[in-house]
Amino acid sequence: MRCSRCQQRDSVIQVHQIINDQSAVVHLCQQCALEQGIEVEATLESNPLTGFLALLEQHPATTGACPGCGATLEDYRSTGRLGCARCYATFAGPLRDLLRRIHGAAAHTGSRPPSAEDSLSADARREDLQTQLRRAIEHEQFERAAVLRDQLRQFE
Amino acid sequence: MIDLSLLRDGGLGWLEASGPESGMVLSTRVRIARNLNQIGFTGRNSAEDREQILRTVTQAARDVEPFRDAVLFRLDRLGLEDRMVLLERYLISRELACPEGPRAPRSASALLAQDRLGVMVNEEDHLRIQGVFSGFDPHGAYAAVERLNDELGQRLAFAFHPEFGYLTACPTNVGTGLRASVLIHLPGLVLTKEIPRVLQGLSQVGLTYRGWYGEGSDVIGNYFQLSNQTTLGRTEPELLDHLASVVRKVIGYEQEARGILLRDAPGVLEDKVWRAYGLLRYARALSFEEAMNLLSGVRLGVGLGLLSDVAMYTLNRLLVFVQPGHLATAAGTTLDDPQLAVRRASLVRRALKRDSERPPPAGGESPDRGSQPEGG
Repeated sequence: MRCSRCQQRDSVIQVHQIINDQSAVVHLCQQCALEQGIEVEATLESNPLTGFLALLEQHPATTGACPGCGATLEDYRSTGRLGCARCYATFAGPLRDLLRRIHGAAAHTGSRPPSAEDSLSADARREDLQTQLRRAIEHEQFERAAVLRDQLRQFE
Repeated sequence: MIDLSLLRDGGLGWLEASGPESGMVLSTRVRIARNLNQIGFTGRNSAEDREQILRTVTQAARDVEPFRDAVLFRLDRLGLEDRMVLLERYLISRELACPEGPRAPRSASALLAQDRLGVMVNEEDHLRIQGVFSGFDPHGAYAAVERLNDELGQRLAFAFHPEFGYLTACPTNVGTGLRASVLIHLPGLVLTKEIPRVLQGLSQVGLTYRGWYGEGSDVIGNYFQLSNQTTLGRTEPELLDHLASVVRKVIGYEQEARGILLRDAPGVLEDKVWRAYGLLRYARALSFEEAMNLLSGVRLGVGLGLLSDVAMYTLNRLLVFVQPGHLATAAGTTLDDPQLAVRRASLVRRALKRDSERPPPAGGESPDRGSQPEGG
């Protein structure tokens, strides 16, 4: 069966979505599933970076430079290292996919700094949330969008 | 020449063969990666940035209780042999030691150390807060390193993101920044050819293995460094519990393999152990690899009770003192490979001879200190 999103590749996963009490079944190929933030067991590769590099091609929205240090994803591709703390916010989208591949998770659950204040400035954090929200809407991830919108309200 | 006597035990406390399972597990190491919030990661730092990072860290460390008497080693101002000694004692990483090749250590790269704790500064991350302890004790090692980390964290603003956790230059370390590893001796699994299956199993449960000198290095003398592969999505205690439970299983497999060897091939095993001992006692030249492999055979013999002339502590110390940096330092001059081989063999002969002449321990349960190779 064809992927219902890109209409090009074969689907590898069936996703049951419930939006506004309406349920729908979507068939997704590996790439589209990953872009939607859905893990497909078979996509786990021995070298997570290889997959990540392929993913970078699919994130045209994050091709810019990091406002913190000027690093680009191209820099990351050649060195395997990020430039600064802000890079994590700037490239959050593709990084989430990469982190899921490396760690099997994309969210930190361990210890936190003693001060409640996070190290990212409020502006950077808001920028990051706005980018994430835009992307969530583009990818029809409405539940995630709602969470992000609530987080953004705290800045108003 | 650096003065390692400033560090208690010369930074070699982890060799004392004192912790749990210390016959099989040499040491447990824990490191926590952290970066300062306001400065870019190491790869994008200027020389001034690095100096500032070093100043900031040393200043903060001055007020920290576990680091009250810490010693600072600036690696950019040390010669290759001194850096090798620090590397061979597991006090610094290969990245900071720059053991070979034309690359010199980056400016302002440093080690701040006291007892079993240290902070590598301007490594891949601004801070690598670490500790090396004897035997198998991931939780104890973490508790000590965590205390230092917490104290530094109260004085330094570490880069942190609410979703991704503590931020590191390489995404493989992000989240907790925690890597715990045990240096374990697995000759039984190697001899029974079960080791590939065990190592493969490790990767399926989120653990990885490395060679003697860490990432990208070869396995020498049947020593494997087992560590957690992932740092994100689990809490620190979860990561440590997981590592500990898997390592306990590996220890069980190794004991089983040794049991099978003793049962099915006692003669071959005994011969292998005594041949190794004989060569070490009398050889006039030993390459590093040969020495490590023979020491592995002797260690197996001591572990199985086939050989009682050597103390574990002696074997542990030899693992460090037969390395090139230590031999060159003891000789006070640079040595080529054939000269190193001769000095190595002589050092091993003397240490084993001393142990064989030592009266048997009276109590049986008293700590077995053995003899100390000179030069440390």
